[in-house]
Amino acid sequence: MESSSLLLFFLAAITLVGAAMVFSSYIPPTSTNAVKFEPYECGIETIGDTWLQYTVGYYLFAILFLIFDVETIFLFPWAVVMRSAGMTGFIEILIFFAILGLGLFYGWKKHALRWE
Amino acid sequence: MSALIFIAIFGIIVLYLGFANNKAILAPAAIGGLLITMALSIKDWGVGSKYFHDMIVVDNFSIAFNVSMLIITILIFLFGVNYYKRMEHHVAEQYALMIFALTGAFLMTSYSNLIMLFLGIEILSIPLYILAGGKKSSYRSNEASFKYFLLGSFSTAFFLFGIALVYGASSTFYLPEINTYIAQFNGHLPPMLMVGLLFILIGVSFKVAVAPFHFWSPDVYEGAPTLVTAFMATVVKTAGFAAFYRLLGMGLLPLPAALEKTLWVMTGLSLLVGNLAALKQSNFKRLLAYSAIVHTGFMLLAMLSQHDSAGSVLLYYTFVYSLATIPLFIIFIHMKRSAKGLEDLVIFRGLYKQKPWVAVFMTILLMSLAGLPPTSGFMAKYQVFTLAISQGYIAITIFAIVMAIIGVYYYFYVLREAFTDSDEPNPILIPFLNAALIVVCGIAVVLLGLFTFTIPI
Repeated sequence: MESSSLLLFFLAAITLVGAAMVFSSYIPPTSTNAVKFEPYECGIETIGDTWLQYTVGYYLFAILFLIFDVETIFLFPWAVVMRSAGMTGFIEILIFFAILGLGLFYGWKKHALRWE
Repeated sequence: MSALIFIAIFGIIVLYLGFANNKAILAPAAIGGLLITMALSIKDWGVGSKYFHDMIVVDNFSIAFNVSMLIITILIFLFGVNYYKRMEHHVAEQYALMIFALTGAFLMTSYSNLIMLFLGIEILSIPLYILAGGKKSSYRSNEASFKYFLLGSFSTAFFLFGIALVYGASSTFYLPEINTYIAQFNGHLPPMLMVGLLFILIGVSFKVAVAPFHFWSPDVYEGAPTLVTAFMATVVKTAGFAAFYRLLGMGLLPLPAALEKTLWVMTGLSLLVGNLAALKQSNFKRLLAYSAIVHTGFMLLAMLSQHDSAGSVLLYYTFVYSLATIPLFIIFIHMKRSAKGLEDLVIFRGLYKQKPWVAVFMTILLMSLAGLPPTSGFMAKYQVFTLAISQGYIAITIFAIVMAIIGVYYYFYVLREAFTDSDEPNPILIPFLNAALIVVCGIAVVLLGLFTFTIPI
């Protein structure tokens, strides 16, 4: 009886994941032709290897973008309670921005924003 | 609390100091900041206060551990003055990342909410993943970083899942509330809570490298830059055990029988696996990694005894262990440099011939790790054993004593190499600062054995 909740939890997890995997292989319409195996179904045929190395710069940009992403995530809950949080909340969110800004500024100074 | 805020901001300041293009000011500035943090920490001694809806508890326990970790980090930064001399770029980042890791360590000593523990472990770990890969061009360093990152995130997932299950059972993240929730079952826990607690235990055990969750540690210790290895072996271990003790002391005591058995087995396994593997090592860093696993076994034994004085015993143990380990890494790096990058135990040959005083201090340090009198390592083990016996853990203590005796073999094997003559001696150069560090730590290791301290925590 006691272990039933835990057992139910694991059973539910296994069933849901299993069901998703089984259904996704049976339900969708299947049509196979040569074009399906192309990297781009519509467009120009690729020449050579499709596994290209691309510059680490993309990764840096993604990381720097993450700064703004995090900023927005925290901005929303603050915006909801802005009136009740008052001046203290405002100053706290400014401190938070300052720390994130320092992170961006650091990346800038390290030439992470320069595309080479 | 002000210490925690200060050190978090100070990390950013050190990061920006890197733009000054003056490597010489970095280490003094970093050490100065740590000293200020220490003063801010000590100021709160005896006050005991709670912050952020009681999520953070600053009490004597956390302050004692924080100060201990600050002292160790200062020693490591002093080591860094010479270590980073040849490094051209990103020196400020190394110091800053270590300070960020220390911020996480501070959180780990002063949480009373499982979410804060999770945050602390993450803030500690993420800089370490980067630091482990500090030698960008080294294949082994990259491997260490990647291995540590993959296994570390895997264990974090276990840890989070454990927290979720415990929350699902008890509907709280607060350790004292979890404690009262557990108490109502009289040691017969519902399975969901049990599994959750076990997962949390796995997550923390991974961080301190307790067998059977130790597999990452030899590879990571070997591949990471030596200074980072020293940091991982000392500060991270101290923080991990502080967190472990708080978890048990605030949340789980008296230990439910099943958890006690788990800890019992993990203690025995750490002692056995660490010792058996250490006997076969030829690489010095791997040897120290396995010796660290054995030491976690001894520290777990103190934890297992579930006594109020275990916190003080743990603090003493981790502190003297760190004091003995750091100078050994310093000696190792100079021997490695004179042997042109070799890391085998053979590189210690000819040390006594060239630098007899270093060999003498090395003897003291290794004796402390092995736990021989009159060093503090002996007193630390003695305290652990008496504590464990007084709480009735006779069998595992006898086993631990036997394992401590076996450990003497591989520590003295290193010594034998140091006192053997080398066929082709290379000049060993030890700068003044590092020599002073070796001497000071060696003397401290002996003095702390003569004047043991217990702190009311």
